[in-house]
Amino acid sequence: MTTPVGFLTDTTLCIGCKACEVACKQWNQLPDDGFHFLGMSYDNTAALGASTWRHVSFAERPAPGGGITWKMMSDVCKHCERAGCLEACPTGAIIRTEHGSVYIQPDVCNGCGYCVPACPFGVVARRDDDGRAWKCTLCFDRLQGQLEPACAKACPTDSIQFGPLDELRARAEARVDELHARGVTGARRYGDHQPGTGGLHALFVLTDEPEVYNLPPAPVVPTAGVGRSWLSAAAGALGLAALAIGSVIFTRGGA
Amino acid sequence: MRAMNHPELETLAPPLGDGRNFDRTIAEDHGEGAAIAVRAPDVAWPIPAEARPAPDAAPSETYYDLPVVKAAPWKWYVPAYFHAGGVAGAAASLAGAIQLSRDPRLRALEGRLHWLAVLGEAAGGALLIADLGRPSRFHHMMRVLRPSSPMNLGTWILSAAGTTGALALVSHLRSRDHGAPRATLGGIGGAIAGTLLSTYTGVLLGNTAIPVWHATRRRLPPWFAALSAAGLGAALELAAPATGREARVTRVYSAVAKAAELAGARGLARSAGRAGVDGPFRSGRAARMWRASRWLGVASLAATLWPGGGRTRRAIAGVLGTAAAVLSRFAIVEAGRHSAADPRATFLPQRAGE
Repeated sequence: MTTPVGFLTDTTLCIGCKACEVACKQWNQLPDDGFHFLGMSYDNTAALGASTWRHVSFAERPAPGGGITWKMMSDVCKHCERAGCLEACPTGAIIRTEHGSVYIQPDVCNGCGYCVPACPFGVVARRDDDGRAWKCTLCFDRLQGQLEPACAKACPTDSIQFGPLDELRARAEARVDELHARGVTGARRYGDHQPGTGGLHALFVLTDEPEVYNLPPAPVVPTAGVGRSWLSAAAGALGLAALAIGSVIFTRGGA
Repeated sequence: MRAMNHPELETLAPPLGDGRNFDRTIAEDHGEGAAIAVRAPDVAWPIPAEARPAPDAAPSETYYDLPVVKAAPWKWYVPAYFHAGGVAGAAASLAGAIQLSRDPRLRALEGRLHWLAVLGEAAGGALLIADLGRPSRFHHMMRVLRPSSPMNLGTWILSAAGTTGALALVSHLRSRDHGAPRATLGGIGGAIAGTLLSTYTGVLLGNTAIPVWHATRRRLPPWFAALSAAGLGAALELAAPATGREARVTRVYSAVAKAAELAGARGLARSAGRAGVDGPFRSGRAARMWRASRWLGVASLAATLWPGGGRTRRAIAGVLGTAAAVLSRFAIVEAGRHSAADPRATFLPQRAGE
């Protein structure tokens, strides 16, 4: 395995131009999203989906000195260290690549849809007409050719940075320290100290609570508690057997 | 510019109807997403109507009240499978118990249970395959054994239950002596696989990021076991003639199962309430389905316990019980859809350290 690579999305640099969305659509030859007007902000993409692998969110927050402030963030698959989709996939279609990313093999996926509710970030989706689950591949084809992902390449402000995870973690920490020194007290890292998912391969620098950006504050891979769930299933199975045996034994008397 | 380089394409090129802004007649389509088949333009993320916050929702920052997690994209096949597979598993386990009892008076009931198990497992398999986005690839489920995926283990459990169930039925039909039921490999193996078949689906739902399922992941499997048994009790009340020993077994089984199901559902809703994710049980379509299934369950238990062995009483108990069991499965799946649509249900339990 080569060094794990990933994204660092610094929301303080995002200008909401959506070049990442367009570059992703173009490079990956993704179909459009129907061009809907959602009427809530400049965000007419709304969420990540089967054919939307980058999504720029526009959160309006009250500014300290009155008025409002835009909080823009380019969202993407987090390629979790412990990925809910990967652990839930019954066919082995979802794999961990040599780059540390999580990849859905389209020739294996049979469209059971179980990875969709298994993702704590709501990233994976299934298109009804295609029948399979799709999500960001971290531009697997570009990585094979030593190119950075299309979104990072297209980002005009370097809000989306691509590189080895160790380097990105250090850069995120330095950036947050710098922002704190400049008085941006709300600045925080997201994704590199998350016990529930073992850490993310797409890190973020935020300036507000994660909820503002529609990120879960403490996501947990669903399989983390699956052992106890199986134990209670075993108890249920024993109960079912006891009920069957009991109802045969306790009715033995009589004609 | 396109017309300048390829004037002939101006008239020949098909309209770009698949939502991709490139022309496949002049461009190569090797992109990671080029294989996505498009029949109609995507609706990026239709905002579900149930995403509107409940009137009494606790205050929380959200992103325009948009959902965080995505609901399972399953059609009605999956809750229907939960019922068919659950009843089949319960039937196999009761058939196994009858084999162990070796009571000749229960031979006819044993035969009915084997049939119920085999038919339920076959119907369940068909429903699951029909629900796949790519049904022709159903066998990909069996290219791996993956303990972390309840969906994968479930496929193996269903396959084992189907195989042993068929074996048990064949052994039963071949034993011409019409004497006492005997323990067979298929019968006992099928009983064990059956108990797992009736319960693993609870783990399947619990092992997701859907708040109401995830918060109740330890309550779901035992409740599903009881629900399966209640569904079987109701099916037997509809099917079996009320004679002596058989009637007593059916009645005791039904009564205990239905009572356990009601208790399990109550515990499940309370545990969702403690986690602060019981919104789907309190308002909206899921709540209406849930409440209806509760009342049907109570009525069906009353009909089972009502004195007398009349055919009408049994039929009423069977119809109400089947309706309760089926509706319960649809209600819990619908509750998951509502729960996924509510970002507060995702945020608040995580903030509370759930």
